[in-house]
Amino acid sequence: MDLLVAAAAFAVFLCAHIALWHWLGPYRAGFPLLATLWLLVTGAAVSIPAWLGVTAHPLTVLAVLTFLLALYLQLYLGMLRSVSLRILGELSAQGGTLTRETLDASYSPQVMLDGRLAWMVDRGWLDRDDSDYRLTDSGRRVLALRRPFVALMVEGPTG
Amino acid sequence: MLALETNQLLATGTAVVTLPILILAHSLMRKHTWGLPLAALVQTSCWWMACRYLAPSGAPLEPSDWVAGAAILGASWLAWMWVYSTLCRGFSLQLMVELQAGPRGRKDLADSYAGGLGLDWMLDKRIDGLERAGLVQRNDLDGDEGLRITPLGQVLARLAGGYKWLVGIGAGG
Repeated sequence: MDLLVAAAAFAVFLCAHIALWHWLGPYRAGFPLLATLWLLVTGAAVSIPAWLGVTAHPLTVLAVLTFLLALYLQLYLGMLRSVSLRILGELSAQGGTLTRETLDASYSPQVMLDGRLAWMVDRGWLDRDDSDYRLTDSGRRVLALRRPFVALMVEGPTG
Repeated sequence: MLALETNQLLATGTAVVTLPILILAHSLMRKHTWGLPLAALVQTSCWWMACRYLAPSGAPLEPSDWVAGAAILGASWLAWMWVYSTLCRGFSLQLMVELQAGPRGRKDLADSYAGGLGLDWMLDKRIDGLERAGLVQRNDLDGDEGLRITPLGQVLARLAGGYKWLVGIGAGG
């Protein structure tokens, strides 16, 4: 019963997510809306069975839903941000073969750079004055979160 | 009324508490190809032992308790995989690292990316990864360096395209 309740709640989440993202667009909808949607669905999945008298373990439902969200976020963020999948998409769209020159023309590193810079300016992590980009306090806080993990895990250049 | 059971709290709580073990074990085995799965195995063993030996005597964990704990354990692997991949391959994060040294223009950022390796290095790293995964092949196309998608790559590209269309996220990347 726990797994059924969690699966049903996840299906509701997925339908609402797809509908909202089509309506608002992925960048307007964004992560806060995804998190809000998840909290609403989780709250409903944990409390509604109890009101209906259905025997379900709330913590198991919550745990399984958390796992499904983590799994889905990997998929969603990968599809949204992955450069590798974008290259694969460009290759498929061009009939399966590309020269490096054509790839640079259809999806150049400069286009990627512009997209990411604009995204980070929107998030408030970067400021732009004239032609220069500058890290904001909010951006520095994001980088501070990275520091302990870098000391443990990273060797050589990243990116 | 929501009743939380002790054994469920034990199974899920120990799954959360053992997350540092996953991170530490992965950092010690990070150069090993199977570093992450092995670290997950170490964490799972610790979690299993904690659940087995900390459960109140006469009240062993029930299947729903194990499911709850395993789900949180799985979620912790996925969360750590995301953090690790963002640390090692995060494009935006690396741009912010470059900007720590001071304000820079777009061209300067492109040239100095990843300690001066540049954006072409980043693209090559992605293509190497795709090649290792058997999704593309590098070959010679009329004298130019070229890429050819493999049948497996084609399947993945179609699935990814279908998902992107369904959720309305455009080309992505």
